[in-house]
Amino acid sequence: MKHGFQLFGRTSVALGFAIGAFLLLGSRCDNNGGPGEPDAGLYHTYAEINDELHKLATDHPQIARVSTIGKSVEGRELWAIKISDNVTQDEDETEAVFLGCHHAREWIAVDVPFLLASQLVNQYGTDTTITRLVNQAEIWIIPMVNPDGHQYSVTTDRLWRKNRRNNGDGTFGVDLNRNYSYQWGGPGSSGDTYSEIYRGSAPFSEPETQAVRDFLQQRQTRALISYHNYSQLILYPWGYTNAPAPDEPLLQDLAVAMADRIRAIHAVTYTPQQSSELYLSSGDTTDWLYGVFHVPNFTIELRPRSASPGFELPESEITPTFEENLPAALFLIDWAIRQSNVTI
Amino acid sequence: MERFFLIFLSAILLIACRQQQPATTATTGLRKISYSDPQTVERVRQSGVKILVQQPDYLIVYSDSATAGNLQALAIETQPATERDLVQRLASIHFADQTELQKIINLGVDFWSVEGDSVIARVFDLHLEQLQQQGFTYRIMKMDASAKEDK
Repeated sequence: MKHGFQLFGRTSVALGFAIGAFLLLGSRCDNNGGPGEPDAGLYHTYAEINDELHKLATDHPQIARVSTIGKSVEGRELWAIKISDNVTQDEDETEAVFLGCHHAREWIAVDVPFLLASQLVNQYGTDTTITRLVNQAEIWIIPMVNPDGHQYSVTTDRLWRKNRRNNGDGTFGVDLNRNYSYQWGGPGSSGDTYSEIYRGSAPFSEPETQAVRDFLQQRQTRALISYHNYSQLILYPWGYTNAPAPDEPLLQDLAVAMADRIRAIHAVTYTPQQSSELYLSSGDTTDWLYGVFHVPNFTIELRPRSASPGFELPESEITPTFEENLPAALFLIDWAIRQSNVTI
Repeated sequence: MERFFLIFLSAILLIACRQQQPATTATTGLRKISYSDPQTVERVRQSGVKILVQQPDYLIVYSDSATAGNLQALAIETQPATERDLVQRLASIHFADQTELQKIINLGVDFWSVEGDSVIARVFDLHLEQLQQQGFTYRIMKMDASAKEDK
């Protein structure tokens, strides 16, 4: 009888653990949309980007180094990879920066900068142009500025755009590309927390934009591209006004030159234009970097052209999208190097 | 002893699961109102809250302290809304020029792209009402923009 009770007791405990595990998995499903690791197919998840950036640096310690520029609102690291010769030293070289994924659902905007990092590292010593650029510049790539939002897009809501700030009123998220301080609160942004273009409670209210700000303030950036999708556009400041930027001819020339290089690969057209030609928007990365530091910089809206397929770009287009954008990125790095002794 | 352990374990797990559910105790902000008759919708409108979403059996409203008081005065029961309740439509909105386009953007819609003379955007029912009031015409492409296929 005693033996029978022990057997029953052990079975109860085992059953308890089984129920517990089931409940725990169930709650994970509620929060993440599915058990186990998030899966974005051939697109990179946050965990995969983390692993692969570190692998690039481990495999190429002379030219690649991974560091964090800060943490997201949910505490994820914002990884940056620096690619340069003598990578552990802070040399007096031109710096070019590439940002990806301010907006969670724009998955291709993670893979393009990541593949750029991969190409620069893997072709160093083989490709003469890449070798020269890596030797002469310090190239920083931050492929996922909004890891919390991206994770949520992968696990729960494919069309999620903002970060995952709990606004305290039942709504979540701040549009990181409306949260920069230059002309913050102007047209094309919203003060409504439920809006997808909610600008946040104050300029730089979000840890993600604070991290980008603090990082760029410490660097001598000469050029920057922030990748988004979609519409196939190359946008340059200003966004908050229809007035031309002081360096509008230069910005336009650079945008046109990049569009030409993109078109030359797969005959795909990206339209170069002032950002406000699309519509007025305030508080974005490019206006801030240009307005405060006078750095020529661009938003590239990647494939596709139209709402079908919109944000859900087929995986088969990851490689061609990267291939066509590679020469534009290399061109801008090269331009930055050539300008390194010129004050704009 | 083992039964106590089992009960204790289950209680801990239940508490852990409950803590992971989104919970909003305040009556302001995003709220869900279940309804079965059109009169309720009309009463909600009278309260002055913003009706973000109107589904066949529930409303998602956004209330501030003043309008939350109105809801209470009208004895309209609300509960916290979940993110899944916050359905948005995918719409094609016609515009004539850049000024009109900017008016659409400034409503706070989720702009996707410009295609010809239309904006493709994800919108709340509140936005559709505002668009209509301002004289815009639109076509709803999907009733639930997040759904794989519209029904």
